[in-house]
Amino acid sequence: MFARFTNHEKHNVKKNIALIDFGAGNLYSVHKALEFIGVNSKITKDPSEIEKSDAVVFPGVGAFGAVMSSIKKNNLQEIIIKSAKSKKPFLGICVGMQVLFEMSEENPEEKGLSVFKGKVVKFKKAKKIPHIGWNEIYLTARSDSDEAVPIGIASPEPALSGANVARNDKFYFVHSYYVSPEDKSIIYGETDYDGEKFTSIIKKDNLTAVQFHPEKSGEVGLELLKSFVGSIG
Amino acid sequence: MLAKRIIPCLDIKDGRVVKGTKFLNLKDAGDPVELAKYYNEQGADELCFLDITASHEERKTIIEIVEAVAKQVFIPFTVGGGISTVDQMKDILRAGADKITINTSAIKNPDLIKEGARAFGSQCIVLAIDAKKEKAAKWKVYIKGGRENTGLDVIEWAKKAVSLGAGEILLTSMDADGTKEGYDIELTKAVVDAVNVPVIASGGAGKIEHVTEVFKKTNCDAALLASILHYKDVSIKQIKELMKKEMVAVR
Repeated sequence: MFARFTNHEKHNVKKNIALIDFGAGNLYSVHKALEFIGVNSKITKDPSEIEKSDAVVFPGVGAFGAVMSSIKKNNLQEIIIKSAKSKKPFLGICVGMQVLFEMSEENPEEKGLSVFKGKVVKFKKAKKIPHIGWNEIYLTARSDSDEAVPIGIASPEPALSGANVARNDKFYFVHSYYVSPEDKSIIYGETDYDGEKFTSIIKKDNLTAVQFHPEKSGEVGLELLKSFVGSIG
Repeated sequence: MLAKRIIPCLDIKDGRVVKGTKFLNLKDAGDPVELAKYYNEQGADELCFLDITASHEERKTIIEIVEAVAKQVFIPFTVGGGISTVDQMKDILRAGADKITINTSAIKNPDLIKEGARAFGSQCIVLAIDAKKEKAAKWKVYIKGGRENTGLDVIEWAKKAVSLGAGEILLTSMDADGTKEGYDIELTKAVVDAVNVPVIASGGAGKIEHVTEVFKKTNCDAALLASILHYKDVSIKQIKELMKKEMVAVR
């Protein structure tokens, strides 16, 4: 897989992407990754700016409670919930996926954004926590098959398949908690860590949220971001 | 399945990559950004930058390197060397690094692990341990590039650091480092078995078989490589091909 994507086609799209800024550690990495594929996203904490955007990227690393309190401090709860429920493309990353749920075992006293029902739980079976490194994703939500398949295989959803993402491609994970949605129909991808299967991608309408870091997943991660950008109308 | 990681380590001095045998006789092995790009293309799973002469004046240099790397390389990378405050951690993470590795400063102030983990999450805090064998199955923690014995027991220190919030351990064998005779299997196994966080084995790789050996004989999660890669004795591609052949999970 090493020589597969040596030349990066620049998108140079004039799409208005809002990158929500509440001080997330990976904010700049996501910005730089988008820049690298030719997309100029706008780092913003201004709700009206986010409202006007064509697509929203919601990054996040760190503790659930710290992320939530920073979102609240910046008065961003309402606009994030609104964007996540709107029809515009929305990409949540890592803790930006987790806070879309009601609560987390990490900081039970801090409520999440509750866009989805369910909670964020800690790995139970895994011997080593955090789950750090490169792992596969199995798509679960294919209507034409009950069998889970690795991401990229004839995936019906362009926002995820990314033309150049293939069987056995791995994405970079670093986390100790994962989402457990009540509505299983939003589970789009799953990953196995040390015998514990967890939700690594959720998808509903134009919302996609991933537990891994596309901005740190090398070429396949950039491919995934490209396909997200490609999905913006 | 989670892949075992191959991590090239770039020791940085005055903005250049250097690596010496047993930490002496430093040789210039290249430009950090170019090397980072090269290793990314070669299939490195992660990168590690250690600022080995970090003084206050040079702090800016490493930040500039971190920013330049983060603009062009989209795999995770760790930065260490002379980091002793949460503010310094923040500057480096903000510049685009994913994790911070601390060593001497954590010995002097173990609460730094706790504070860093609280501010950025355990996954950001990598504790580096330089270990030297004292007697059978006993290793001591060394600091200052291996010049000073802290008297601390490696296993005890590793456990304590994890309880304080370290999310990963970068374990260097002072005995194996620079020998090119293979990783210190006994030490690596002892630490891996004692803690419940990922362990990165470091020191001693001289040929590709050494890498598969450490993955097969211990349950470590990653192998750190420096001179063997920098001087092109072997390539990451060769290492990964052998790992595949030997059924070690690989990206």
